[in-house]
Amino acid sequence: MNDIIKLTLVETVDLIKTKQVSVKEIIETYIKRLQETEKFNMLSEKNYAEALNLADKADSKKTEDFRPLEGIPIAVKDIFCTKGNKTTASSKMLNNFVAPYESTVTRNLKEAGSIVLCKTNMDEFAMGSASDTCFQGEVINPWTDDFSKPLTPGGSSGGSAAVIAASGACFSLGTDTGGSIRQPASFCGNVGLKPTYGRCSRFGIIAFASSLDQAGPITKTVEDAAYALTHMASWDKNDSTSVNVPLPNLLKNIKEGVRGLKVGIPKEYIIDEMSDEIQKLLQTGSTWLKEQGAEILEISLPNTKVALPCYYIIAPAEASANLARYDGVKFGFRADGPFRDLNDMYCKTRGEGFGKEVKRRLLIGTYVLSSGYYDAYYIHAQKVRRKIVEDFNDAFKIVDVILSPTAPSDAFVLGEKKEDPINMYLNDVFTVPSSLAGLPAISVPAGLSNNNKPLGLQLISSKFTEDTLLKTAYALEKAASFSFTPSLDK
Amino acid sequence: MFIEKKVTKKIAFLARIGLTEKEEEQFSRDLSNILKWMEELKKVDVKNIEPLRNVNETQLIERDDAKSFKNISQDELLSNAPKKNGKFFTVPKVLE
Repeated sequence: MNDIIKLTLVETVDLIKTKQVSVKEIIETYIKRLQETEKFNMLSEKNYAEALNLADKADSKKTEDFRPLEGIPIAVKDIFCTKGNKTTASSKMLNNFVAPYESTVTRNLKEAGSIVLCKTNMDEFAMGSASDTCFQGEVINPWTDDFSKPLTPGGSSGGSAAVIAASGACFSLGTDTGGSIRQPASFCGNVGLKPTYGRCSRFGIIAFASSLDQAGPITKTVEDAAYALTHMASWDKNDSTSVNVPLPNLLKNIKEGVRGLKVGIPKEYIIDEMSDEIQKLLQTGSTWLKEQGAEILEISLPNTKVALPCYYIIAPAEASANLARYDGVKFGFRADGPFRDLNDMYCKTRGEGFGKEVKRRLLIGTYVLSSGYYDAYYIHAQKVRRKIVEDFNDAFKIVDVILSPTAPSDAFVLGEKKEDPINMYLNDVFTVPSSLAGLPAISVPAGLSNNNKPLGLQLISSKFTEDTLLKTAYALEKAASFSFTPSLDK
Repeated sequence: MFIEKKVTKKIAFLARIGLTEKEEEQFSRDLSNILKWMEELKKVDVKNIEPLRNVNETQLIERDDAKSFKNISQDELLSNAPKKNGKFFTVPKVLE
C-alpha cells in the first residue's frame, strides 16, 4: 500500500483503529521510505528492529485495547533522551551517550502507543538556523532540486522537519527556543507548532536555554498538530517550569471558523530584510482570514527591533550555564591526555568536543555573565524582555491572534550564511519575540516562493490559548490548500 | 565595542574552552561584531522595570526532595563515563 506514507496522522490513526491495515505494514512502509531517503542525512539513529517488535505487539492487541496513538511511527529530534538509544544533540560531546532514562514527552507519546522509528539530526545543541552545525554532517532539505547546491531544511529541528517533508514518519518532534520548530517547518512545507512555554515538560530534553526551550510537533496538517500536542503535553513535577493549566480540547472547535476573530498584523514586522514575495504572502494570508470573517487590524509591538539582540544575550547566557555540565567526567567525550591538571582536561575536552557555533555562543554567554558586564548586558536584557512581554499583553487586549511571516526568506543554500553569524541570526527575526514572551505560535505552509520552495505564515496567540491558535491556523490552512510536495525521486 | 584577543582568552578560560590561536582571532572578531550589534539594546529605557526570569512567574513549583531516578543502577550511571575504574569515575590527579 504505497499510499500509506501520504496519509495524515489523523487518517493513519483511523486506518489502524479499524484494522484496515496492520501496524507492521505501516512500520515496514515507513522504514522503506527512510531507507530510500538516506541521502538527505536526516537520521542520527535508526530504531527499526525495536519498531518492528512493537508493531507485532500492537497487531496482537484487540482494537478495544488500542491507545490513541497505537502503532503510529514517529521521528524524534536527537535532543530528547530516549532510554537505551544514543542521544547526541548532534554534538561530538555526546556522540557516544546512551540515555539511561526517558524524557517526559517521549514517555507520554510511547504510553499513548506511538513507536519511535528514528532520531533526527539537528544543529549542535539546537544552536543554529540551518542544520549545518551538526557533528554528523549537514541535513539536506528534501525540496532540493540541484544537489550541487543543496538547500538547508532550516534549524535547529532540521532533521525532524525534513523527515516529514520526505514522508518518513507520521509526525516528528522538535524543540523551539527561538524559532527552531517554526522556521524549519516553513522551509520544508510542514506545520510546526510551538506550544505555550511550560505546556510540555522539559525533563529529559537536553537543555539549551531553559527559560525558552519548548517541545512541539512537526506535522503535515494543523489537525495533526492538535492531535499530537494533546498526547505530548503534561504537567510534570520533574520540570519546575511546566505548568498546571489544563490543555483545552484542541480538536473540538478546530473547524469552527474565524468569524468575528480579531487578527493583528504588527507594523514593526514589515522590515527591510523582507522580500516582496514575503510581503505579498502576508497580504494574501490576511485576505484569506478576512474572507472567512475575521477582522484584520494593524497593531504595534514597539520593542520588536530589540528582540533579537535581547534573545542573543539571554539564550547564550543560559546556555553557558547549562553546558557547563559537559566536563568529560561523568558522561560524554573526553579529549586524549596527558593533561597538566584538571583545568587542562576541561579546556581540551570542551575545545575539541564543541563545534564552532556552540563555542561562539558559550563565549558570548560567558562574557555577558562575567563580572562587570552582568548588569549592563544580562540584567538589562531581562528588563527588555519584560517590555517585549508587555507589548504582547497590550496587543492581546485588542486582538485574539497575530499574523506574520514565519521567516524572512525561503530555504537558502547550505553554507550560504555560515560565516556570518548575525546574518544567520536574522532568520529568527519573526519567531524570537513570541519565544521571549513564552507564547504559543505555529507555522502553516501558505504557498511557494519564486523558486518554487515552501513559505510559511506564522500565527501567535496569547498564553494557554492553543485552541484559538489552532482554529485560526486551520482556517489559514484551508484557504492556502497547500498541496505541494517535494519531487524526491527526481 | 572591540574585544581584544586577551579578553577572548580570559573569557575562554572562564568557559573552560581551549581555543587555537586562529580561533582566538576569529572569535575576537565575531564577539566584537555581535556585541556591537547588541548596543541597540542600550537605547531601550528600562527605568523601573523588573528583570524577567520566567514568563510564567506565578507558577514555579518545587518537587519533593527525593531521588528523581529510582531505578538507575550504579552500572548504568557509569556506563557513559569516558574513563572509569571499577565503581569510580576517574580524573587526572588533582592534589599534588
